[in-house]
Amino acid sequence: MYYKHFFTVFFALIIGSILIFSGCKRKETVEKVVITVKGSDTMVNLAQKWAEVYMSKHPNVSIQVTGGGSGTGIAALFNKTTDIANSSREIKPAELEKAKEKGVEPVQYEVALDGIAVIVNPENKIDNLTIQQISDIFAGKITNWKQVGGANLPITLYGRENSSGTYEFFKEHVLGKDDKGKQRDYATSTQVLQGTAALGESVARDIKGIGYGGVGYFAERNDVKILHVKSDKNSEAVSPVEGGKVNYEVIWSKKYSISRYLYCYVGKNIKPEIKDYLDFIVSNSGQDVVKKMEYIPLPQK
Amino acid sequence: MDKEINIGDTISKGDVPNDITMNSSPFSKKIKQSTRIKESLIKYFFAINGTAALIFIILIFIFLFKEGFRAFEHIQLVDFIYHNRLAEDGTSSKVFEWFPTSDEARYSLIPLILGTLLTAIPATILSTILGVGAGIYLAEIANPKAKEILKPIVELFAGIPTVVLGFLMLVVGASFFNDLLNPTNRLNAFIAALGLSFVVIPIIASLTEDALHSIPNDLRMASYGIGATKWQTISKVILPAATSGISASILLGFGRAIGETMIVLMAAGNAANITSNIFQSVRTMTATIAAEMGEVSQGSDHYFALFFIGIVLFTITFFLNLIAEVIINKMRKKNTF
Repeated sequence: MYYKHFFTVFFALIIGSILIFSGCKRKETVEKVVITVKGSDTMVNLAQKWAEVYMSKHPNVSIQVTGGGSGTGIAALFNKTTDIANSSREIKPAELEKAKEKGVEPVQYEVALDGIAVIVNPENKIDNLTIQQISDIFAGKITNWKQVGGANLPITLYGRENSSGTYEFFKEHVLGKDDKGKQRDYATSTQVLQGTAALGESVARDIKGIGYGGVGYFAERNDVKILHVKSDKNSEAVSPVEGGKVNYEVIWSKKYSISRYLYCYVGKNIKPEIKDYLDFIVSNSGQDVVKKMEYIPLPQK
Repeated sequence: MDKEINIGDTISKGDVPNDITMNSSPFSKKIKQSTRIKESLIKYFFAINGTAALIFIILIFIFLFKEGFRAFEHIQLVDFIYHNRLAEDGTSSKVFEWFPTSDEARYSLIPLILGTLLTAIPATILSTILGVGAGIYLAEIANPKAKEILKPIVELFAGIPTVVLGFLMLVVGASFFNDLLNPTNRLNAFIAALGLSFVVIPIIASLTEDALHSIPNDLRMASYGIGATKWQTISKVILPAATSGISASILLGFGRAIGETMIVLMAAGNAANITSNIFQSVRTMTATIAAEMGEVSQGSDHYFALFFIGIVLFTITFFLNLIAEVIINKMRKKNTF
């Protein structure tokens, strides 16, 4: 009747093997330098890619990247729960005061730039728009192309999913605030598309369409038209692209207004591993990752 | 166990010559013991397989509800229906919008539920017409040879990856109907419903065929016997007898249309409009989860709100399937004479 004991043996084996293998795993992860990165949701993908590339070269370092927003990252840096804070904006004076209270001196690193192109169908007559016009279009205040000097056609808005960094950046930077100082929201009729590729595809096929996305991605596409943007009525219309290539100069000089710097903040006395990681980010191979992820690399020095 | 030993005993007591019994008896006993172990092993193996589905569904249920109900830490149930917007003069107005990442977060599920219905209902209506028709043809009209070829093809339809169908509608379907009908939006509920019907038709067709197949042949023979034509037999005898089975197939198809994600994500345009215009973009519950879960920051209200949408979806499809199952069971009982 030994089969009755079979299951006892069977489970003993399973439990035993779990113990053995979990033991193995614990041994493997020992003695790794862990760097935690927290902050801007815009930069999560970029930071993850940096971490991936860096870790493949430095197997002794483990980098953990989480999002949560620029504010969350900076607060975590002050509470010493993260080593590096990603931020898509400069640190605010109020935050600097808090840092002083907690005895942290944040050091700022410029790591990349973010530039957004506004695209329309090539058959659209419109070549340039002011920031105010773009803002009103995406907030649903302007609903027909003739209101901005185009054909008598309704405007179809194409946007990104609400948790993407591009969505947030465009909202803060272009839609801006209303008269009462409240952040404006996109019109509910904005069609949400998965990623920049699908967005480009839709605008390329829709004469009524307008959309936005990373400059790097649209630069080489000729089935969509990249608009020249004026920061106000009287200023010069600037395109972020020239001859199928990203015009880095106008983005670096801020002449093209839908762009911003991205930062990493660290404390004053940091581990050599963290310094090495930051050096990697601003190095050529780190900036290659930036280009690949459709962001704008830092100006070459 | 006892039975087997008894059988062995009777053999040894029977007409078999003694020497053979002497040799085979201990041998056969040995086989039986190992067989018994194998038998019980196999029994347990299948028992684990059978209950695994139950265990997993319970685990999914627990996980979904555990995460989803955490939404209520900061969001009230009414917030999932409407948002109370306070104007400066102190009056408030109800807003039905899905804007979870706004400064003034709005979590109304109304546009998403309406979007789901505006894609799933037209898809189900279209699929009912075509699917039931196909089922009737396969079960009642087609000759065996045609059926042999057509049935696998209908089932093959169900196997097309939905991302392929979605892409097809996004690129080809949307452009075709844009030129033909000039809809409000290029990507709209109608395009999504067309894409959905590709996956719903095979479900309704094959379940209808099953339902018709289970109708006893006596009914057909009796109908022909009193001089009814084929069409009279189908419409007056077979279809009424299979009503419950066909309605179950439609319910299951509807459940599939509600739960389908990839096609609506790609083809419906995903604008959270409140509209009854089928040519406008809509956003479904499934597409919302798929689009936003990827980049949402974990542990935020938005994250738990997405899980709550999951609960709503799960509940809807659960009850649709339950009703369909009850109907099918009733039909089975009715048709066994």
